Amino acid sequence: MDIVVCVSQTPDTTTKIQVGEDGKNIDSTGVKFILNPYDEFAVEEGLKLREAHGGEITLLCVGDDSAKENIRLGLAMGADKAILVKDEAKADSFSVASQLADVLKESNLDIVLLGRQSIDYDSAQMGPTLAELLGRPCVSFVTSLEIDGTSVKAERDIEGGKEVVETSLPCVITAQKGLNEPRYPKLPDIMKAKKKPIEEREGTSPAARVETLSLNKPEQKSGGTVLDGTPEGIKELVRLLREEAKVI
Amino acid sequence: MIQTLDTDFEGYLTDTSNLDGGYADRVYLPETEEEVGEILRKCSQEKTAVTIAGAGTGLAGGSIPFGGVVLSLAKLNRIIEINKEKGLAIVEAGVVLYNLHREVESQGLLYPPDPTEQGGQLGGNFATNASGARTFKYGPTRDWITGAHVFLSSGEMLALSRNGNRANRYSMSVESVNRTIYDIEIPRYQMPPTSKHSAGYYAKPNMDLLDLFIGSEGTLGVVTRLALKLIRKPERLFSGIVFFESNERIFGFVDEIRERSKKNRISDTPDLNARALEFVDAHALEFIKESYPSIPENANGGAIWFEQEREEASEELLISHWAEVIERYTDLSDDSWFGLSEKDQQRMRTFRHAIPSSAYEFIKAHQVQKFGTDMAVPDNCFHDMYRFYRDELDRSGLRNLTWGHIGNSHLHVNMLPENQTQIAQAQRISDRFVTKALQLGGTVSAEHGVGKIKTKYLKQMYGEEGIEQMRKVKRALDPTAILGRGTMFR
Ligand SMILES: Cc1cc2nc3c(=O)[nH]c(=O)nc-3n(C[C@H](O)[C@H](O)[C@H](O)COP(=O)(O)OP(=O)(O)OC[C@H]3O[C@@H](n4cnc5c(N)ncnc54)[C@H](O)[C@@H]3O)c2cc1C
Repeated sequence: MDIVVCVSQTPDTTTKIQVGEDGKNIDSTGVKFILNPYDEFAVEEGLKLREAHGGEITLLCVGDDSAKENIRLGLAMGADKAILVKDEAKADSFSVASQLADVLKESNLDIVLLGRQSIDYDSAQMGPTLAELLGRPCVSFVTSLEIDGTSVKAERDIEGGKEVVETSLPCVITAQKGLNEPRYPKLPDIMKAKKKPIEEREGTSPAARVETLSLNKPEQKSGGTVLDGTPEGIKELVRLLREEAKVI
Repeated sequence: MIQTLDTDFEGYLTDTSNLDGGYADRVYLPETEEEVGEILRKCSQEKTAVTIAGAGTGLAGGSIPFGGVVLSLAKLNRIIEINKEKGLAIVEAGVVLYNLHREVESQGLLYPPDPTEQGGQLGGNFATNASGARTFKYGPTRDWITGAHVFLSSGEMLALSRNGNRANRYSMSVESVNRTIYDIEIPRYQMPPTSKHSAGYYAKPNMDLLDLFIGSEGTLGVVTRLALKLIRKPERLFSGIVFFESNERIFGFVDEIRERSKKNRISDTPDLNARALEFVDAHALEFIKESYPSIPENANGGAIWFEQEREEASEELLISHWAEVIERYTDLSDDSWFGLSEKDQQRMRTFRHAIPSSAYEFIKAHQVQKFGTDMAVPDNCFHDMYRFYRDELDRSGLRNLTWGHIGNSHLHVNMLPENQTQIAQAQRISDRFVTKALQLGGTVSAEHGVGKIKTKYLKQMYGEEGIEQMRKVKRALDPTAILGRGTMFR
């Protein structure tokens, strides 16, 4: 089975994000980047598919040199090789998706796995856009995946329940939390990861179709008010709900 | 504003020890240092006992009051300064360790002390000389304190800085900011030669006064503000949880890693140099197996969690050194867990923390008691100590689990007796463990402190004479004897 897992890096979840001087991007000085957590589920699912069906796993990333360290983590988990499409700009989701599609159009792949979204911009467009560009079916937010021959059965999270869908290979799947538990890398794989190839290709950096006008931090929450459970406290609560919060 | 809570202060009457029955008249939550001074002045005039409370995560009952008032540092919780250039943080004592770690690490810095419980306050860490996994490389809290504001029971403040006030042999005098002079005679006992120690007052000829307060468990003064040393956060780590089939092999592994790490601390070659080396025994693995199904079946020797700092240039060589040793000592290396990413490393820390916390949850849920040890012995006596633990535990038939800081030859052996007979049995075994550790030159507490539950062991370690010398120190600094009554000695 020819498996492709698209990976990207996102700021570490403990980073204190600052808006850059242009007011449109984040200030990345001192920010540590990690492998997008949803992509880890995608890598793990790739490993499980390879265990069950054989084949090879290629990691595919659009990004700059700094992404290599996180690509190596995917290789240490057990992926076989990687392709890095060099594009510093990553103008928008469509721009990235079309560069992924450029690479994948030529190949004979069976399945493309991605995280359901990256946890920085949260747009969740990459999987569906890529599928559209490749002319392949897409199942997003998948929590369980079964493949038999070329038929695919996937469970996905929907509001208040689960949806079970069927499609066939080749297809695009985006991974939701719960799909699996990403493994720790094994010692021999960690040692091999350094030697596995990362092929570099020049990106085409297509122009953005979406323009970011501004980036703002959420408003600071002000501290809460603690009222006690005495009759006066309760009266005060009712007054505040009526006069300040205006909810009753 | 000084606040008193007249109701709802249950939370201040317990910590994470077994000790119950705590009671108090009132809880003070000062918001400024001046208020701390005022409260103490008033209490010392009225001779009201004052129990100092941090976050109440202590394991020895030190923050549990038996009468009088509680003085909680919870509202003195500002991080005042983090200075990247100087590698320095200034914090109020009520800052919770987790918040400090998060703040300094987001700036690319590291405050090395990392007690497994991150919910304690820096003042609590100071007062118990807390330590953690990284103490193996970086030492306990004591090594990272460069200054402190300490309020004595008179309400006067001492502004202490590292090496700002050294003793002349065994005598020392110190001046408060209002110019009262306190004369202190340093105890003459010898502290044990273990790599960690947190029992009784620190005492050495020519010592620094700051060291007397670190580890004094709220019996000499209230620390309100701390200056801490920070280092640059190491860029990358390599860490692992390695499982073993047998005790012999796991301890062979530990001996080799411990020795090589200690050697490489000085030589600085890119050989393995663990910053954390922690043990979890097979019973403890059994305890959390349900939440961690990927623990291998035959990990009968337990597991070692390690952390190693790495740099890109030398990491390949370094990891190959680790691989060589690991494969030499265990056949479970393929079932072991390794991590290069911060996320995996965090998962391993969470695993390590899950062990003591699931034990605490178990004792809460089943209403049983836990008898836990906190002794460390000199490295060359570790095997003797462990054999003694194992023999006693196996013979006892008590439910038990062991984990701890094996790099520092410091384990927490825990017994969970289920009825009165077993409780008495666990008590006798605990006593024998202490006696053995002392015979081997160990300490009765390596990190949790003496609190109210280990006073008899402290006396066993230093004798009545040693205790009397500590009392003398206390009388000099707290003449009205209001602070931390019942803690350390009676
Ligand atoms: C799951 C778990 C794991 C733990 N792991 C570790 C570990 O790895 N290493 C370790 O060292 N400890 C460990 N502990 C114990 C505990 O977290 C530490 O002892 C911690 O330092 C206590 O801090 P605290 O703020 O909770 O202090 P408290 O429990 O509130 O008080 C502890 C003592 O310090 C005194 N004190 C507190 N604040 C001040 C102050 N400002 N001035 C003067 N005296 C003060 C109190 O009077 C008391 O005697 C663990 C506890 C738990 C529950």
